[in-house]
Amino acid sequence: MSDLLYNRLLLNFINVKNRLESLLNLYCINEYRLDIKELQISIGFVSNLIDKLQYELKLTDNLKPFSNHSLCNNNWTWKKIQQLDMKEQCLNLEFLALLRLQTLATCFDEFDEQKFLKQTTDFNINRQYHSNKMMKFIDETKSTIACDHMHINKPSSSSSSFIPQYDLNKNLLDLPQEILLRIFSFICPCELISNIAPTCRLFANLILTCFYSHLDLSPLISIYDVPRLFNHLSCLQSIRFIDWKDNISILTWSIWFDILSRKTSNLKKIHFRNIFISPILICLLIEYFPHCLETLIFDYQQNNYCYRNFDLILCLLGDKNIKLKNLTASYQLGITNFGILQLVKNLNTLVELNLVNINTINDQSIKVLCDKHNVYLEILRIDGAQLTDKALDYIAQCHRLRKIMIEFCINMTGSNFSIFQNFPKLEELYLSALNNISSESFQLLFNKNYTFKYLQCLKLDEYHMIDDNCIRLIVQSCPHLIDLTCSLAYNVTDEGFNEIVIRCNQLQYLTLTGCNQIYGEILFDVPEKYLKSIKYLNFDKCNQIEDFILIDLFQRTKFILIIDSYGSLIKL
Amino acid sequence: MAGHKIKLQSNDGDIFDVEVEIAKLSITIKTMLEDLSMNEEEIIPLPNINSAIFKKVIQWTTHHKDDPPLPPEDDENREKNTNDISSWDQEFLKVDQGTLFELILAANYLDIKGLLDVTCTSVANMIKGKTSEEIRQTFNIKNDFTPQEEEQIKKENEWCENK
Repeated sequence: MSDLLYNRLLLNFINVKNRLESLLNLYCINEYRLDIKELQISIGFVSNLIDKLQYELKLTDNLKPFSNHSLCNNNWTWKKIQQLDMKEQCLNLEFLALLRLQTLATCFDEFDEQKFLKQTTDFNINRQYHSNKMMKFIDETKSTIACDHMHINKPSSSSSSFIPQYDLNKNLLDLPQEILLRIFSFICPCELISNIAPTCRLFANLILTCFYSHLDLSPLISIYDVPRLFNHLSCLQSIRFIDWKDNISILTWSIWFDILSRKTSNLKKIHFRNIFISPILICLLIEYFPHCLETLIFDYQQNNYCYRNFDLILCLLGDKNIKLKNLTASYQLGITNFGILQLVKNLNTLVELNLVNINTINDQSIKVLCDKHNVYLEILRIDGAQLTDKALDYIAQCHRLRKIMIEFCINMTGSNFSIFQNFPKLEELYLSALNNISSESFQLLFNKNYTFKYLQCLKLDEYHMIDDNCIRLIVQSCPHLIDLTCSLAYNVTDEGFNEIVIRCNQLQYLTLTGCNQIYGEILFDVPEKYLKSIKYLNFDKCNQIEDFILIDLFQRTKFILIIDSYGSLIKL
Repeated sequence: MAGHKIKLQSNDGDIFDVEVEIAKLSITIKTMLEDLSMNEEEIIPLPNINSAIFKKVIQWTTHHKDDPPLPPEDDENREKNTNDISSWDQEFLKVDQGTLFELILAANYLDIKGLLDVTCTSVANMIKGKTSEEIRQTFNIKNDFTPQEEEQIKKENEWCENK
């Protein structure tokens, strides 16, 4: 038996080492950097691992079966790795259970997220709103798997009350595979894996190998079972690693990626949530998935496993040979313009870049980004603390932009705000801390002469100048708003508020934190007459709105989430 | 050209006169007429469909001829609501399983997305909310797992449920 997998692992680690070393060279010719030490440590670690792997390989064949050296802190040995090379028997039912666990865990997670969303409203509205946004954001990028728990225990719906008798000549199993898959696509994944797959071999095989295009992988299963599970999932396109923290050794990652890359040729998206990120891990990603990986998402990390030198990661991802198009690295620590420049200069096509809360990003980086990717860029979410009006001029070249978010625009004057009319497909616009924007500039953004045909989400945070007239302009030029936020707009009165309520008939989310001149009597006609689709209303610090108005609204329509002027969610 | 008819022949030899507009709901027939520029006088054979099933298909397409076109399928966002079978369709689909499966195959062959969706949804609804054993009974599926495997599934199910 040859050591195919083992040899591949070794070869890839050598490539990883080369990659890290070339970055080290790049670092050396630039100014001194604090993270150079980190890079050296990583190189040392990989060299060490390579030595260990080579040592095992050099042992004579007679000795090998007895060799029991642990190769990393996940205790992989030569023997265990070699066993992975052997073919798995056709179908092992264990995997049904493994997948079932993972799928159910996702269902519960989503359920918890919803609960969490409701609970947090009780004490921190801004964060709640933010997490609400984050959830939406996560949802957008989320799997194709949408779990509906209700289906599981729900008694058959009226449409299925008629169950026809089976026919001896024509059986469900006779239908071609693509039709069966189509039928399965109407069923919740939890149910597929727990009730339908165990019906017969054909279904079990079909669901395992053809249905799973997305997998949420959390430590409910052992790290040794993961490769065996991967062996069955040949149509996987997206995977989310959840909560493994720093429990996965580099060798384990490498083994997982090796099996994944050989089994599926179409892995497009990898999402890390609560996972310790390291430069070596990123190098492995680049080694294994250069031709298919398009989307990488790193979630906000709040725990001790947080990686603090993310600049290194961006430098490594800036590689001409990979297909990465969408990157989310908001809230990561240690990012500088050096890393951002390496990334945007070297990637071929950037369609989506999310770097929220990275407050070092400057005009120069934006220039390079927009000069290179202006024909591709569709989504851009950045922090504007260092940005001036120039940055907006650069962004104006990117005509395909659909979603723009610039937080903390404290150095912008708004003199070129008309550039937002350059994006015919704009769906989402978020600008915050617009302290220096005059009402003349505001009218460059919203005026009677231009209609934002596709704009659904508009968020203008901490813009004190907004008054009833501005609101009127917004309502006129954005006829399809679904989500509107105007916080700390002290000059908005009932006149502006009525304008929103009467005219924005598609609105689902409305946040008016700190608009303390609104009395809100028009709410007696919501949602019967106005705001028929509203789901969320936030009146935190709107001190003039009487409680009884909101309580009355809540009692009429319990499905609307309402935050009162004290910032608490109205409950029964 | 309203009311203009073409002739379609099922695999058991019956010939049907069908309005062009209705026949064109089938992408397969539409392609035959437009791309292959078949003569409209010619009889178009449908080798995979028998008369009984074809009658049902015509019945469905006639009822749905004025439906707005379905939105293109979106891979990213395939959230399907399975309960939205109209009452007309529910009545229409009160047939035996054999006919239902034949209809699915016909819809697939003729490439009529609306009919394919509604028939597949109907089968999915028959599956939903049932245990494995009930599914086997409903569809006459043989349990081909070995007793050991069966035991394993049971054990793991218990474990999952206690989790």
